[in-house]
Amino acid sequence: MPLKKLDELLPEERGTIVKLTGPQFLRQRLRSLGIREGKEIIKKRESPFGDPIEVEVMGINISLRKQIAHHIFVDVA
Amino acid sequence: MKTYRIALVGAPNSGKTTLFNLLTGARQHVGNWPGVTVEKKEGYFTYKDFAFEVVDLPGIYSLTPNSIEEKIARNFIIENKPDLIINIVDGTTLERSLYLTAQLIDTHSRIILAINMYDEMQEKGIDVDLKKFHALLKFPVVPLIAKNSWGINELLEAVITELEANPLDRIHINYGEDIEKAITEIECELKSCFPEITGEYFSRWFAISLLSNDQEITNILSRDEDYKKLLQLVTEKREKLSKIFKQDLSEIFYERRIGFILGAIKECVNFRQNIHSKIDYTELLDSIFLHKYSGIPLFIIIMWATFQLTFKIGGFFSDYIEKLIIYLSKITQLFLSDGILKDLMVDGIISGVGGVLVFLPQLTILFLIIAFLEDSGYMARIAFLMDKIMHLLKLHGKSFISLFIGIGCNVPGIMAARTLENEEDRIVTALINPFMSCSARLPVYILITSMFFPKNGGMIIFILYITGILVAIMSARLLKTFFFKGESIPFVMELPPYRFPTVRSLILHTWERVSQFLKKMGGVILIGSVIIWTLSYFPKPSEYPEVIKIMEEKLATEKENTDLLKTEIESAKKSFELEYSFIGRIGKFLAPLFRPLGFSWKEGVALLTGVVAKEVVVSTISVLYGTGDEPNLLKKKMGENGINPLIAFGFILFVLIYIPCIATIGAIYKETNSIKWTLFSVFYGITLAYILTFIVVKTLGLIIII
Repeated sequence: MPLKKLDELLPEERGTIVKLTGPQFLRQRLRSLGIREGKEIIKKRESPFGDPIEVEVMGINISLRKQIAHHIFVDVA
Repeated sequence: MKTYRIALVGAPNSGKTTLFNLLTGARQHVGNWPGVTVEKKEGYFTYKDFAFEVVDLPGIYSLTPNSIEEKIARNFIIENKPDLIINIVDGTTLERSLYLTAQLIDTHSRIILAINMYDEMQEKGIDVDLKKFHALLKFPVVPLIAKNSWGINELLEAVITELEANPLDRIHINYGEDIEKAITEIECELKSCFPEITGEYFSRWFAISLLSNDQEITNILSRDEDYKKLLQLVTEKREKLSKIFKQDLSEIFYERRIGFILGAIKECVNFRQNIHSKIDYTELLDSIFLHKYSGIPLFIIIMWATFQLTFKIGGFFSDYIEKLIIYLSKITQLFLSDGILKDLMVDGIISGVGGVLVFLPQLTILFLIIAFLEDSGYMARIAFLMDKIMHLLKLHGKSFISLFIGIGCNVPGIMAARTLENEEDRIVTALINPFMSCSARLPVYILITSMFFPKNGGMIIFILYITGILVAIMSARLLKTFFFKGESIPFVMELPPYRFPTVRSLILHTWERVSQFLKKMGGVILIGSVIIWTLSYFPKPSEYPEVIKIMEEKLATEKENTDLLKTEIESAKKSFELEYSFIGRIGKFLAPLFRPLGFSWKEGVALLTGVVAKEVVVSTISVLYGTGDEPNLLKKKMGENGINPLIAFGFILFVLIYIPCIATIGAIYKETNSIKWTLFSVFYGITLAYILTFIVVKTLGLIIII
């Protein structure tokens, strides 16, 4: 299974979220916004200054810092 | 007539506030939740024979208490037990939004699910079988298009039906046999021993929270010996179950809730395939506004336009208000005879009220623009664009707007800080805002630089602006490091679809903020102005020094050039009166403190009066030196008083950093909702101004000597 961390995705690259790591409050926050295991996620773009990034999941656009995206494992197969 | 209490619960951008405004109209009250800076909105309305009190809870994605907003919403539901919860969800993000609904189900409240943006949902090809949904959830499910008031009557009918439904037919989310058994046992214990904490309905919710190791609840209970046995039971159950599932129980609760949601979606929602999709405007606009190359220039243009509109157009109207105030004081002068009352009315109260009113045009325009930026969805993009830069200040991208506006005027800048989601960020942003050099300070810079730096005044003023920004950055980092080290909410935020704001909501938002400014800060500014006026008016000298007497005698004998002499006497008298007043005495008393900086008592008094508004420093200086509008004479007299260019620079540096003006202090108090932080802001400013000016005056002095 080719796993990547979300911050390593190229723009327009997509994959399925398989695992969230990091502290519990972070996982809870991500899930409540829709970044949940099993969902397809697309990296849309980076901010002009390189950070944060924008992703799309369940038709919702979400912006998050790379440091947080690092906790999201994506299956890009 | 019994008043029912309704709570509105929903995610940010779900249309919750639109619904709130629709229900309550003008009958609403905006305040703060106790002890925090989060807005609390309450309102009232009647429908048929029912009276309702509505509370608009903060926008949240879940009831798990990680953020202040989530804590407020949760505690309100648990402690105040609203008679009914209207859970409003954005239909286009139904699957995500139902997680909050699932958590609400655990509380056993009476719930109505209002599926908002029903039109957009159908355009996107999402169909909900409302009957099936209702059959599954047992509580009413109502379609809604809040922005067009569509579906509001059906919603209100559902509210009445649900309130009258008795006994309540409630559903449970089934957490599986093992967990359900544990929940029941804990519930039994709760009900029999502690009916006071769980009330009528919340025992199940309490049991679930305890099992998921909710720190807040556990902490509250562990303070009391009586709950020891209960907590032991919970720990025992939790450990046993964790062993069975080889996972933290909160994870199991999460998974089961998700399972419930997916089941409901599968059962009741149909996603039509191959709908000829319209242009995705959000996608299109983002490809321009967030583009690598065009994003930042467009952002700068939008900011520049905001600034221009606010201060140019607002300034245009402010000028008229100022004229009106002058006119008003002239009329008052006609009707009142000379004396304290007249002076109080004209110089104290009317100019104080004027000081409040001149802000109105700028604030109205600014708040209108901010409402537009927020409602349209661009505000979230600003955060996306500026986050990296603001991260230097350990702040969030949205703080940028507040600080940028601060360059025009700190008051609206600080009030713009409330668009930030995070309480700590809001406070820090408000506290560092006074260091953004506002336009009121410019006249002081211009006066001083034109006298002491005729050749490179522009450069000096530029240095001051940059110094302000550097001080703001340093202060933000300092505050974040020492006072706000709480685990900050991770920067994850939604970029909502672009929507064209309705005129109604723009007007409501703007009016709400403007009226708040008048109500909450108008008083502070007015009282402050009157206090400073009193201090600089009393006591009146009973006689004037010899010099003035001689001049008056000369005037009596002189036949020609009496006008010039009259003005000279007038300004000498004014200067003496100010020196003789309380504020003059305070200035003289504090003179030894100012001496190390090279300032005389006159600069000290000017700084004191500058607290009303920084531009007042200019007029005080010319009154005290008795020079009127003659910069050359003023420069000469200041020079005689020991003010050289270096000290003059120290003086404007001090003006930049020391106490924010009264209006700004009022704004800080309002936005931080804390006397402690307001006082901090005042003393921090003074101390920092003193230290920096001292260092600059002394070290530059040495360098110049060498």
